[in-house]
Amino acid sequence: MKRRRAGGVPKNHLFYFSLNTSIITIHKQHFLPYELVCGDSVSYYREMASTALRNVKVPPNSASLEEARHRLFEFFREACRSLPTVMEIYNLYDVVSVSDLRSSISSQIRKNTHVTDPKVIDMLLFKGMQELRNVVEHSKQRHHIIGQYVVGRRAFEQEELGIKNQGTSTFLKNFYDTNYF
Amino acid sequence: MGLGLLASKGMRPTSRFLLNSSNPNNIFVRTIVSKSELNKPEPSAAPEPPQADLPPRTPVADARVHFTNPDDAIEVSVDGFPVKIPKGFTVLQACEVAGVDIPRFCYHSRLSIAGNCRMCLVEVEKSPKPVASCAMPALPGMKIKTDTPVAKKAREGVMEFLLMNHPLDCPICDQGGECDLQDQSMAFGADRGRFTDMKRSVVDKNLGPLVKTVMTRCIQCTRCVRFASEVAGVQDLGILGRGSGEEIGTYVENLMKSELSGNVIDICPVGALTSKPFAFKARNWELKGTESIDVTDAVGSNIRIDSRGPEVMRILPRLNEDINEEWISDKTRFCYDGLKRQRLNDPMIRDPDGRFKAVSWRDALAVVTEVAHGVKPDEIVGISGKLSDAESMIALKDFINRIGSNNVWCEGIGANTNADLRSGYIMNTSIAGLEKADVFLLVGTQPRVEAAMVNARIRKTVRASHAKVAYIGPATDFNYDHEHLGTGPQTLLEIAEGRHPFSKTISNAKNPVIIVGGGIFERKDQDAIFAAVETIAKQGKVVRPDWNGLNVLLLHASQAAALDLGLVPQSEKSLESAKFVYLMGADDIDLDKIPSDAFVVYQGHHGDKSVYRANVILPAAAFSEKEGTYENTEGCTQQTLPAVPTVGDSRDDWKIIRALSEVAGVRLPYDTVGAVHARIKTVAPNLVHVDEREPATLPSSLRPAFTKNIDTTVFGKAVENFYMTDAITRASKIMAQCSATLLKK
Amino acid sequence: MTTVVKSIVSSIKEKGLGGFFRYLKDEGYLRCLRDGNLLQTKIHNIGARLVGVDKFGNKYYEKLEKYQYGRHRWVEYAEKSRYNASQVPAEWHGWLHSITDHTGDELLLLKPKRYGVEHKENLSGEGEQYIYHSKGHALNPGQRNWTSYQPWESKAEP
Repeated sequence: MKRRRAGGVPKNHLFYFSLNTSIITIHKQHFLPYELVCGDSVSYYREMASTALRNVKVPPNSASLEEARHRLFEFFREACRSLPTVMEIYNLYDVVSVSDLRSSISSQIRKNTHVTDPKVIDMLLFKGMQELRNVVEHSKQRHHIIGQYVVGRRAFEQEELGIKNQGTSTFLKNFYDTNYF
Repeated sequence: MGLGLLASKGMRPTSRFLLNSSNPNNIFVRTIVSKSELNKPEPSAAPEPPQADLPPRTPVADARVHFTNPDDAIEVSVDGFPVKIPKGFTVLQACEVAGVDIPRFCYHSRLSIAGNCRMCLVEVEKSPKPVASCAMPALPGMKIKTDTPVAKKAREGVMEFLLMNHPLDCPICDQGGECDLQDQSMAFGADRGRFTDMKRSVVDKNLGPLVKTVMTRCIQCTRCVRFASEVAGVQDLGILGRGSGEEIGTYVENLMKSELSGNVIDICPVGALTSKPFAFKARNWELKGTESIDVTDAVGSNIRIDSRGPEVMRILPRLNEDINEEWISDKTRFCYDGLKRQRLNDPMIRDPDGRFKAVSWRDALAVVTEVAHGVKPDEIVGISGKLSDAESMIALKDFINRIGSNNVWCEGIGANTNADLRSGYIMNTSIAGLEKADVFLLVGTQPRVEAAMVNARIRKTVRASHAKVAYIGPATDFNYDHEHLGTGPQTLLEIAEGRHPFSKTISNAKNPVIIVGGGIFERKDQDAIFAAVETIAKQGKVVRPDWNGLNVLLLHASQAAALDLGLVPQSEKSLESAKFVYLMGADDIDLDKIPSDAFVVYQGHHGDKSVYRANVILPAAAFSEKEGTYENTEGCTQQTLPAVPTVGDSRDDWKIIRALSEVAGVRLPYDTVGAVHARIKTVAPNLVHVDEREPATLPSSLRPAFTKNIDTTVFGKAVENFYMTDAITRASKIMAQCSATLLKK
Repeated sequence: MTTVVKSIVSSIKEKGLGGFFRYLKDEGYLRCLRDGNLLQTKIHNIGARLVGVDKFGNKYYEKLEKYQYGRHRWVEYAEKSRYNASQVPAEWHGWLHSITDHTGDELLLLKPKRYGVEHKENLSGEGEQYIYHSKGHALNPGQRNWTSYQPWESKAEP
């Protein structure tokens, strides 16, 4: 225990905070304890420090649908918590409200309600976290956010509407979207 | 003393040997050429032996030789190549046939020869001096040399003189990048100038709102002067002074009042005459050219739409010998700023308080459908507009027919217009064919404002063969000699009955041409007028197997296709009893005729006249934004291509009707442009043969017999204001300026 | 030292005690206690020659004797609380940095009337409104409209 504390643990914490803001909760819960419990952690952390990016590991799969569901809500909460920051850094105040963005996120999640395989849910969650990280870290620009989550929201809504007018032809569906098809 | 100068001093003795020059004086003479052999331009003495095994060169710009009489062929040699050309060709034309491009400024194949720029100097054997090839007729056995030191030196000298007084303002010149002087000075000019004095400067002239002049740049090629007096037929431009005091001008302060004035911008080889609306807007290499068709009149001039991003920056003519040669009218060239103003960009529904509210396509189509289902089928009327393409017109006709109504027509076509015989509404002679005519009878048409390019053809014929032109209609302005026979159908009747002296002129003519104006289609007595015209045609042998001189000059781009597709009103009263009116770009119908309780849908691209009566607005694409088929007045089918994207939330015309038909439950069976074309093919097969002129087969002789119950009201003017005839030109600021300044009495 | 005390006493006599304190405050003597930089400038100023005052009120001093070359010209900023080098206008910059011996007042005569712009200090970090935003930026108050066409605007019945 002594060796470990003297070794890489503080450094490693720093690394997590700086790089993985969005998936940090998952890491804390599943990945760190697991690594701490078993094996020679010091050598692991040394290796980690040298080849940091190569060794980024994804959290283990959800064992059951229940767990996946729990993680999903965890993710949604985290996304909602980051929304005020998103509003601030992308200067979205006169474009959209927090509740609109929140419903935009939830509508995107609802789009995948039919998925029941926990592995697939994990994959989708991972994609969502990636996206969230990109957004929160300002890796995107204002027009990306507006295009995908403000204007793009109408497309989600239309897709939901699409269930209603199933009798229409592909021509008409395309026509409502764009002139170029 | 600079280091470079020292170095060059040191270099001089060696350079003498390096140059390998036989003339030791050379190093003291400051030469403007780099090659030493150019410094002794003695005429090359020994004729080169013709090399027979060289591959034949391709003629410049597809120069064609047409031998009317094989005996007239003469043979000359160009740079050692023997070339057969007809008698009367100039040396320059012979060189073009031989595949040698001669630099030129003043020579233009469609204008008379001036021979004043001297750029086209070539060496001719046994001639003491270089000759101006554009003005020199080729003689049998002439030995022309274009790449000898004499010719090169001559060109360099001429170029140096031209550049002497030409300002060095290419960076701020709008011609930069497409300037003949720029190009040719790169190719044929010297690499330095020797002129150190002050350049001359010339006061700019005001030629009106279209042509910008920077007269200091002018090189006095007089192309514009010749164009104005020969093609445009206005004697506004001329040349004043001599020597370095020579100027192009308008003699007195005078605007260039011609409907073709924009073409001087194209023919000016330098930046002296440039486009005023385009000034400092873009550089020509930034632009994307799209080959398209003009829709502002029924001629269908071939144009190139130059665009940058989503904006049309300018419109230029495209060469088409059969339609517009290489000219276009000012309306065609400068209407483009109308494409950026007053655009409809969202579907809109009128609120009860009279204001429009933008809605989604889904809602707009739902509202239209609801109303359309609530009225009786025969109270539904569809009218297509001046600028509609064939695709949208067939879609409109199919849609209205499927709802159960037969009231669908194109504006500008009156009730009981005969659309059964194609020869009864197109220009049977063809535009190019007008050049063979020797007598013209214009009935109720003012071609100068209705179809400026057709008028240019008539003027060309009148100039070339002194053809007679007679005109029946209200007093108007022609730019060639004509005889004003009368103002109304009364005169027509007199000619038909042989009481008028002109009926003799027609019968004596070899190739007589009768042109009936498209404005006649809106007269109630059009059958009687056409019958009278046909009687004249029969008496004067205007329609023969080898010559069909009976023409109708249509007014709008959509008219010929509409008549081909059968968009003709069935009865005169259908609009007055309508409850649901679908206007597809129709802005010039009498809006007072629409009952006040009727529901009006306007589908179009501009907020023009009809939107103020509309209940629902559906935004459509303008001609620069869609692929559309148009048939011109001579029956030639052509296609526009999208140059820029559509604005806002607008859609292509036929797609809107196709979508509406599905919402209304009468789904049209085509989803793609190809399918629409297939549908058109079943109705009018000539409309799918793009870029082909389909002549009418049947001679129009199935008309009702000639009757005398003709309405004696005089013919009206079909086009009041040449510059503002449709939604696009009415939205254009430039066109508004033109009509304010140029049409001012 | 005696001259300093004498001048203080004379100015107290002239302005009264309250006026004297106001003068001290305006000239930044009171801030000197906290701001060593300013204090040093003030000490420098003693016996130095006032070369000029620009239109913002910055005072330019020069003292050639006793001072090391490179430290012989300096500025006392008009702004006593937040001063920085960008407050020196262009015409004085050359003099201050020994690029030229022409004073700013002389160089001002060469400033082109037609297109010479006013000097502006650098306001970075002073608030959102001072940050430069390009004409397409959402935070630019006059954000440019890039639409290349002008839409038809519906009006009530004409």
